[in-house]
Amino acid sequence: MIKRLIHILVMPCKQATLLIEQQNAGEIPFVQKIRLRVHLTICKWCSAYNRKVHAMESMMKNIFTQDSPEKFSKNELELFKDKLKDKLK
Amino acid sequence: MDKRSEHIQQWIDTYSDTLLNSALFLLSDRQDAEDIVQNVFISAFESYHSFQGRSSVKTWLMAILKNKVAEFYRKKYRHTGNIPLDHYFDREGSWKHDDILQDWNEKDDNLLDNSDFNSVMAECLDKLPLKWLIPVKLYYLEEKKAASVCQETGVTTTNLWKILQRSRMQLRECLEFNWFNIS
Repeated sequence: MIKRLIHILVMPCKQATLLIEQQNAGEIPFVQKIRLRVHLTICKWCSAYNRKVHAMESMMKNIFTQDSPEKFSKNELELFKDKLKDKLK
Repeated sequence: MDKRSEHIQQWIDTYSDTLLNSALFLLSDRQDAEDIVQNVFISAFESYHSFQGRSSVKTWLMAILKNKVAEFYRKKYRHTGNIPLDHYFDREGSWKHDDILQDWNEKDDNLLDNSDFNSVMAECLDKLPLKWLIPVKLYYLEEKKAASVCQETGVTTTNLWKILQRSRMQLRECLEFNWFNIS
């Protein structure tokens, strides 16, 4: 019942969760920002989700910045160069 | 050997390192990176005469690389458009399940430094389709500059938001199942 009311009055949760992404990237249009804020104040589902998104943001940032792929080794590099130089003679 | 070949040989020596590691960063796959850098040098060889030294060689080669990477993604992930969310939302767009309401008790221990948690996280990320994982990863590595992620991967901004939203939904579910024990 509450869910339906929120849906009719503000916007569906499906859209709110998309706007959360834009909000976090700092690329949300002003009107949408207000609507999202209203939605989050009255919708406990999305505000719970929003807390989890924030938690995931730092987890993802953390994991992506710490395990960057191993760079090409000297050997690999030399092999690559020789092969290519041969090809483009 | 003519001047062109001589120059190309020299460039291969000087710039392979930078190009390969940039490509690896953008593609997350060694073989793809090697293939694409090889194509960069082939392109440079073919269009050698149009390079007039207006920019540095490195800038020129990097520009070719970026074009190749975008082209690569466009070909590979042409169909990222439709991302269904029916699993999470009903026809009216409301949450289907109430499990979203259960909070995570992440504050107890320092999760970010917990290696068990991070390996669960890595496994969950591995389960994302590659066509989502790459833009998501770049989004974080490039400090959320949506425009440059879109340029590098060939996805539209609208699709990037959808990819982030969908990946997050899937990741949340995976983490709750494998770590937070919410079901």
